[in-house]
Amino acid sequence: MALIHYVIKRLIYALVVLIIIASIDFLIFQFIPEFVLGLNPATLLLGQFANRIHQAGALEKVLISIENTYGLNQPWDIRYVKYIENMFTFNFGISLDLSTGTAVSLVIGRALPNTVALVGSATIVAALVGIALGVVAAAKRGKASDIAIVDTGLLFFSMPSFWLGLILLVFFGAYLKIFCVSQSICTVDRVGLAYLHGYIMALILPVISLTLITLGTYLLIMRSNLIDVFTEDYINIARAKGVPERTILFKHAFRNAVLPVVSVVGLSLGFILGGAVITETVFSWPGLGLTIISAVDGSDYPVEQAIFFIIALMVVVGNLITDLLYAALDPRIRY
Amino acid sequence: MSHRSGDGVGGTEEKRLVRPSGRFSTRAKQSLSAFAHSKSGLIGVAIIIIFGMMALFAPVIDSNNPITGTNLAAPYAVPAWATIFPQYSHYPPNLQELTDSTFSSPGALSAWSFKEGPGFSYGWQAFPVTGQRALSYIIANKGEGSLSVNFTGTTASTFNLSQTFSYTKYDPPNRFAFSTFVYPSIAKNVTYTVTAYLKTPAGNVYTVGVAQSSPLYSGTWNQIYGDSLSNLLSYNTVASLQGLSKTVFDEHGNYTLTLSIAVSPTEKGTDLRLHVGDMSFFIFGSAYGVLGTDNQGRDIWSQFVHGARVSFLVGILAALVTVAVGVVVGLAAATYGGLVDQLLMRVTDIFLVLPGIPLLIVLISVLDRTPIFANNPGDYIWLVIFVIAILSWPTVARIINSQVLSLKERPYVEAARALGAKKSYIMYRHILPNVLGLIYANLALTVPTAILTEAALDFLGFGSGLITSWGTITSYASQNCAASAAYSYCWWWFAPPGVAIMLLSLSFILLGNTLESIFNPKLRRR
Repeated sequence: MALIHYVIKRLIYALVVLIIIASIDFLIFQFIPEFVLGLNPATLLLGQFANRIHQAGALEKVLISIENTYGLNQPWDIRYVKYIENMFTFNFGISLDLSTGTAVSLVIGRALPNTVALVGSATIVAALVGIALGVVAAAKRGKASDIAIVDTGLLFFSMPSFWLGLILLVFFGAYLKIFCVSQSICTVDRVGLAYLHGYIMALILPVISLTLITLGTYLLIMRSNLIDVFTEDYINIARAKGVPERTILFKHAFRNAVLPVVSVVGLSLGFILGGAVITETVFSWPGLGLTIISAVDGSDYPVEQAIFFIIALMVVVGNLITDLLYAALDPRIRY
Repeated sequence: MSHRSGDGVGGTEEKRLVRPSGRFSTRAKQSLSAFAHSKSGLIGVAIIIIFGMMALFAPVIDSNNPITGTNLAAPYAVPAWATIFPQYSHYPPNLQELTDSTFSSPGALSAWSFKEGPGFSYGWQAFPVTGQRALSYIIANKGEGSLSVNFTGTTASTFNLSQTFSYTKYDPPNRFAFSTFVYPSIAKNVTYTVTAYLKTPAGNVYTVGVAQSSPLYSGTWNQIYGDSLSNLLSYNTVASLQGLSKTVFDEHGNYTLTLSIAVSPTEKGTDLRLHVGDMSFFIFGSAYGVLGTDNQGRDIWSQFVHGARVSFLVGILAALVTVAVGVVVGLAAATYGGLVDQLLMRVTDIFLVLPGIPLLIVLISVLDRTPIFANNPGDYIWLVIFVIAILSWPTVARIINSQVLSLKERPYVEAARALGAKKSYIMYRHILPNVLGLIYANLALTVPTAILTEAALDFLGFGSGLITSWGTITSYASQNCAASAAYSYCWWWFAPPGVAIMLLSLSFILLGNTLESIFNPKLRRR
């Protein structure tokens, strides 16, 4: 019963956060242009678009779409409600990038799986490796291997992600030619298993890059959690009883120390997705990040605001899942 | 790292329960001595000071203009010190192959050999007063004299002036250029052509500059110019040297440069007087400077040095704003409690969830249209600082808030409260001094985030847009050289900005961790 209450509470909270995020989107793309910059969003959108229209009837289509999507002639309160409603129903209008006017949801539908593949695998690998290295470092606390692991973690933590990506790309992709340098090149004209092979060969480098960037956080947190747990009384008692150090580490300490890492993974999702934008740009990985960058370059506002919302949605949902997971895993949490 | 630093400071757990005694200055002294014992903290400070000096004295230690100083050497030149590696050991530096080519004194003529046809005479002369050196270019020398060539003959004739130099020590260069200035002071009843050509040891002859009498303006200095990289700079050169650099200098040995003046009289009473000055045959170095050159032959070291300024400015200002907002929010929430606390901390939580980089990108893409930035692109940096601060304060607010909440429960604060002290007094007098250390630590720990974010934005093209920022340098390197095996992928261009960002971020983290462990003894157990 109590768990259900907690779940409902968290769901409502997530919903509120999403509404606020959609409002930020509204603020940036509707309010700032009109009130701060003195530009009508419609002219802003059309001004960009008018130059690119080559197809008869396309302008009409866009005008109707913009009017329908944003209700620009309505008062602010109605516009706001409509905007939020659009966001939550994934009705993002049409992309201004092509004269054909592709639906933004279609653009996102194409990019999203790629981002999920990249971020998902990088997060899993980083969490697993980070936890493992954190355990090793904590077990060898103060010894050379601990210092080496912690310093390496800090080093990757302070490394610019785009730079690390470029170095990997140039060294393994261009110089050694072990991995593919671009997904579009590696998967062109391929189907089935061959396509999958090309896809994975192109995915490996971005995953390594993103993993290395996020690894340090998990490693340091896992290590300090374990060291904290080591000072607890029950560990001392276990030691006094003569339980082998190995058993203490894995049976007594590990479980308690690893739980907070789960919530850190959730909390750092925003950071990881931000890193993914950069990583995707460096490796030309056709995910949400690369799409948002090209949308900004082409002033494709509908795509920009939609991708920002979707990324925020991913973060909120990720947080929700880790929170619920945490609650289910940790019996100490009282709802 | 923090666990290994900061031993021997007064203030154990028990001591903290009472209000830390002693005057502020004694505590500052204690902290300082603790800091002096921390190796990683000192390393961090040392690196920060080095980069800080670099940022401060950038205009002094940059040897060239980082943006406009193009063509300093060949494009993609490796650093000069890289010639210690075998694959670069024969890369030529910048070489001026001609001697006494500015004709600065009468003795200069002895360095040249002359072959004059009938009707020619020549001699040294100071620059004519009326002549101006119309063009100044990096390869033009600045001698104060000229070779004066006179022709009063009646039949077609040729005057040759040549010098031989040897090119044996180095690999073929990536670029060479020939230039000379010609000033026709008298040209009566005559047509003439000035041609410069280079004869290789194997006997191949390449034209490196040509000018005919009709486009040569009399009464002014005309530049005759030929460049193996581009022929764009000269309006009267027909040399087709593009890409020839490697071929021409592949034959090691003696090269002869000849300037040939061919005249043909049109009527009787021919009189021609040409002044030749500032002749130059320049090998653009493939090894240059501290960090080589970029695709336009600009000095990367100068760009790199100025990059420290951008990173410091953004890092420190953004950190100051971030920490100021975070401290105010965190303190206010903890002080007033109740609804204020709830509200402020909920807002903080929502900001924590926001994906930073995407939000920065969309925000900048819209604010980009503000008229203030249209006039001066350099002002983008303030926008970047502001936006980074907006997105980073929640972390600081959380940390400060939880620390203040725990301080509020300390006996000495309770005692003050029991004595009837006001909330604001307790906050200012008892709590703020105790979170000061944490504030310093957070200041140091926020700088790397700001530096990394700014660099990433610049790399993506949404940042300050300054050519000299480390992010932009990396971006240019990747655009121009990421796939260029022929230029060793420009490691001298790629590596320095990234390493610098990493070192600077790391040193601020080391500093922050050390400060944290000094001011927060609980951490030192680890």
